Amino acid sequence: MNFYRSSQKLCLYGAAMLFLMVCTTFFLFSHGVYAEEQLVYDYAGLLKEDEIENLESIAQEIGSQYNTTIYIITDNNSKGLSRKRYLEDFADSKEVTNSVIIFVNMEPGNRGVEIQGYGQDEFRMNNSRIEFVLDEVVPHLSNGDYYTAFTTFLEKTRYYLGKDPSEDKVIRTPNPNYAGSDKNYQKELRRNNIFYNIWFQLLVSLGIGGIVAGVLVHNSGGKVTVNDRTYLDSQNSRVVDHWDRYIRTTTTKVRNSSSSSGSSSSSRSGGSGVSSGGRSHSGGGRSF
Amino acid sequence: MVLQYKCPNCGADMVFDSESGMLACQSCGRKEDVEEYSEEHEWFQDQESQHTFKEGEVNEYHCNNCGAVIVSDADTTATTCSFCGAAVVLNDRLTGSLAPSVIIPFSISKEQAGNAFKAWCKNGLVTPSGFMTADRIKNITGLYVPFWLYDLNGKGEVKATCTKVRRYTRGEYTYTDTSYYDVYRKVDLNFFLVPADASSKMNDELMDKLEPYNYQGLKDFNTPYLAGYIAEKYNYTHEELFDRVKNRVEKYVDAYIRSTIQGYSSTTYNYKQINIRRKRVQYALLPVWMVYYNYKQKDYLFAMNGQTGKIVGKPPLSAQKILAWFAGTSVGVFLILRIITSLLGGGF
Repeated sequence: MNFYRSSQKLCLYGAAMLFLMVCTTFFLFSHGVYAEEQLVYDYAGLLKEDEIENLESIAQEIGSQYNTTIYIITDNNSKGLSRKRYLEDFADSKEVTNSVIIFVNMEPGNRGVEIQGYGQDEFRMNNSRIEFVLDEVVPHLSNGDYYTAFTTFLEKTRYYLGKDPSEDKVIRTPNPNYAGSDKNYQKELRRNNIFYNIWFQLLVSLGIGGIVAGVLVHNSGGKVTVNDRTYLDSQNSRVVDHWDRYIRTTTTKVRNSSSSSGSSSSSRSGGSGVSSGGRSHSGGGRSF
Repeated sequence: MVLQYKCPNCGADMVFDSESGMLACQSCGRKEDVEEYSEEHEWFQDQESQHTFKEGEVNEYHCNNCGAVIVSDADTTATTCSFCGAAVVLNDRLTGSLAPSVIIPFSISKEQAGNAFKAWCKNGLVTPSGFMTADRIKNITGLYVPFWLYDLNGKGEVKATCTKVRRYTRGEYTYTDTSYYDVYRKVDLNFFLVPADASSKMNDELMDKLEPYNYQGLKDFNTPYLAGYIAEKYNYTHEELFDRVKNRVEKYVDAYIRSTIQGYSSTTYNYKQINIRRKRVQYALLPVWMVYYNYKQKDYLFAMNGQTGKIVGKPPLSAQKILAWFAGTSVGVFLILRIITSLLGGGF
């Protein structure tokens, strides 16, 4: 009897807790997506006041329609980061879930544009689609018509978010010159390359130093200078019999990892990758 | 029996002269050809003590000049009288089975040996600077070391499976073709005059490093070559040393076979048979300058090939210099790597 009563009590507590949790989640969720959040960050000052307002409202509209957040960022200086890293850090700072972000870097000598898709948009805005969007956006950027570039970006994004990526008839491969389009990206690649790592280089240097010192010590007492031919009577030495008979050939084949298309999430080619905060994303970019 | 070579002109003691390759009188400068110097010439022979030497026998020899006892151990076959300095050859230890058949005479004189040693010390990269001046040579001794020279036949037979690997790309796939081959080699090799140190006093490793001797200088043995030097007789017979030589030549045969199997990515031996057969063995005396050197109250021993001048031995090592080489090379390589990195625009 006692047991029955206490279990009933427990059920009541549980139901109350669940209700509270659902409420909190709903509140947080609605607050996160539908709040009037800043979506355009024009640090480079490329847009007029009314243009920014206009872009904000379109981005807001698309975002609520497709359960995502669209950001537009411009900057004069990427602080030595590649466009890719810059966007990844931005996405981490905003703790984005679903998001499409465009970044225009106006850094002198390293101007470029980058688009990334996070969460669900890693697939809805995959590498192939980003290439198509860039095709339309880059000419406007080159002409200095930034507002048109961003409205084009928003309209193309709206178009693609409403279409299932598996229905795409043409799949674009990522920009082959992706790494070359951003000076800072090349530096970052090298920094991640073990041969450019200072500790690795130190280790190699110490190794070579050790080998040189070791050889000097080893040879300090004279070295053996006879070899297997020193005492050979070459005129009276020969191969008496020999053959090299072919037996068989076996063939194995391995699929090339580099040729898989950009639509799958496993692809890390071009501008796609994972941010330091662990956010996987699609991406692509060009200089202009 | 003690042999001493007297100058036919003045009667003084003659020694072998490395520069001319002849017996030379140190008093009047007369030179005699070793090959032609026959028994017709008058030399001192101690007739009374003429007998054949027996293994392990300690004999007392007397200098014919001064009559003093010649200090020698059981292995010595040539030495100098410690009292009057006369060159003496203990002939009975060089007869019968103990008779050497060939010899390479010294072609580097004591003075040249000393100078060459000093030059070598100066070139030492990891030896202490105090050692490099080489002013502490205690003693330089010209020594004929007994060697066995083996003429050998080596037969080798090998069966192996070899592979050739080819990689190519077709479309989305990379193909790897591995072709297998059945490979067979049979060789018949001849080696001449492979040396093995037959003296128990000499460090084998040191003697191996002294090689090679130039066999163009090989001469039929004649006792006058020993005049003025120390000579030893062998402690090990050629049978006892054959295993050592066999092991060495087996490696040579193996290397030869390996060099005939070319153009493959990998080679796996399935069968290997190497037979080494002795064809001829000669007892030889080869010239070595032994340099005794004292550095910081420690004795160091170096050996120099008495024909080619090659020097071997463990010199003292300077921890400072080794460290300097290590640090210098490391820093240098590190700097070069950093410069390359910064030129390529990476790094931090």
